[in-house]
Amino acid sequence: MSRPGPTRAGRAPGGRAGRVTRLYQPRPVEVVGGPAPVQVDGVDVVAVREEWLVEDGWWQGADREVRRRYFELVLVDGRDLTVFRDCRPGSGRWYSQRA
Amino acid sequence: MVICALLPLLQLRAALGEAVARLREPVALAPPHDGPRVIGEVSPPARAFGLTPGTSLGEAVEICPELGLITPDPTRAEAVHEGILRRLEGIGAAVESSRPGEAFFRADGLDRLHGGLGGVLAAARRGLGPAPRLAAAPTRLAALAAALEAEPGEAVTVEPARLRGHLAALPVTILAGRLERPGGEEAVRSMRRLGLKRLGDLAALSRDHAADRFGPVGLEARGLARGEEAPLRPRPPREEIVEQVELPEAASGRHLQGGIAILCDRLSGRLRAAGLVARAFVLDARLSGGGSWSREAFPRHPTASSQLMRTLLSPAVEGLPRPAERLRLRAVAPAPADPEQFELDHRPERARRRRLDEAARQVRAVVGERGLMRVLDAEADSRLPERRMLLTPYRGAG
Repeated sequence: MSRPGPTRAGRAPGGRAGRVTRLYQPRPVEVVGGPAPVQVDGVDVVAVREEWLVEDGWWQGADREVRRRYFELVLVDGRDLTVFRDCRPGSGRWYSQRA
Repeated sequence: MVICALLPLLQLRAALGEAVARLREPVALAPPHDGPRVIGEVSPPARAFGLTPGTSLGEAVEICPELGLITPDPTRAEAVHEGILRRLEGIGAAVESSRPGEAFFRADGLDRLHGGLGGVLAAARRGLGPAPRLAAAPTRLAALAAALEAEPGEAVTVEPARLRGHLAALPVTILAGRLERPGGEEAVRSMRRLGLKRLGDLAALSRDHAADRFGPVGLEARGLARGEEAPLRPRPPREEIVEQVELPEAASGRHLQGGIAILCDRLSGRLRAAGLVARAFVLDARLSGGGSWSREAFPRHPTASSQLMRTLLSPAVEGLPRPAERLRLRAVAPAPADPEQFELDHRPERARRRRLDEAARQVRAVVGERGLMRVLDAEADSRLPERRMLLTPYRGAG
C-alpha cells in the first residue's frame, strides 16, 4: 500500500542534486485527539479553522487510492498549521503539510 | 630540461634605477603608501642585519637605523619583468612566470633551433644581457635552486643523473611559497620543527608518512623533493594596447580626472577601430618626485566602452600618493569583440537570459548544484499539495 511522503517523482527537498523533487511533501507529526486534533507535537490546538476530506484515485486500485481528512489549525504558539490523517485502512497516521 | 632565468631583487633594482650601486648598502623597499606598513625586498647588507621582506617598518628601523628606504616603482618593475619575458619569448621560449624576476621555460624543442642546450642558454644570455642568472635542470625547483646559487652572468646545468643529489642537499625552506596546495607555509615550518632540514630528509619519507603528517600539501612537497613536478604552464601570447599622456605640470584632482577621460576616450577609440574588447585595464602614473603607482581594473565583461573604463578607473586615482607627471592606460589581452556582447546587443531578451545564466553559474560555483533549483508547475489544480509543483535542478534560463 502506498503511503503519503516521497512519491515516485523523487525525494524530499534537499535530496541529491540532479534529482526531481516535489514541494510540499507531507511530514509525519504526533497528534493527540480525535477525530479533530487537540495537540500537535506537544503543542495545544486553540481552534480548528477548517476541515475537509480529500478522496482521490480510488478507481485506480488500493495502491493509488488517497483518502485524507485535512484540518487547518491554530496552535497556542500562534502557528497556522494544516495537518491530515491518512484514512486508508491500516494507516491512521498524521502528517503536516503546507496546503 | 627546464631553464630558469632569475633576476633577484627585481623590484628593488627597478626602484633604485640608476642608483643600483646602492644594493651594496643596507636598503629596502619602503611600504606602499596605501598598503601594510612592512618593508619589501631588502639588499644583501640589510639581510645581514636580519631584515627580511615583511618585517614591520618600525622594527626594521630599530634593528638597522641606517636602513635606506627606497620608494617602490611598480610600473618600472613590471616593465623590466615584462621585458625579460618578451626577450625570452623572442628566442621561441614558452615562458611561465608567477613572480617578478623569475621565468621558466623548457629547452626541449628549442635545442634544435639553437643547437643544443648550450645554444639555448647562449641565446637566452644574448637576449637578457649579463645581469640575470641562468640555470638548466630537469625540474623547475632544481633549476631555480641552481640559478640562486649561480653568479650573475653565469649559466649552470644540473644533469639528470645529478638531480636527486642536487635536490636532496637543498634546505626545505626553498619550498616556502612554492607549494600550490593550501597550508604550504605552515607545513614547511612544521617540517623544520620536526627536524626535516633538507629536501633529502623529506624525499626519504614514505608516501604514507608524508600524507599522515602533513596531508595533501606534504605529498606535494615530497613530490617536489623527489623531482616530481607538474608541467610548466606557459603564459598565453599577450598583446597590449597602450595610450599615455604627459601632464604639463604635476597634476592631481580634476586635472587628473581630465587626463583619465582623455586616455579612456583614446583607448576606446583604438579598440573599437580594431574591433577589439579588453578583459583588463591597467592605469599607471609616474609620480612627481620619483616613484610610480598603478592599479588594475577588471570589468565584468570584456569591453571597449570609454564610459565604463572611466567609471572603473576614476575612483582609483584618489589613492595617488603624490601628483602625477604622466598617466598611461593599457588594455590587457585585447580580443575580437563578440558581436553579441551586451553593449552592442539589441536583443534585450537574449542579454537578460545570458546574464541570468551567468548569475546562475556564479551561484552554483559558490553553493553547489543544490543551491539553485527551478520550481515547475506539475498539476497546479491538484487537491493533493505535493502533486502541484516540482523542484528541478536549474540548468539555464533557456
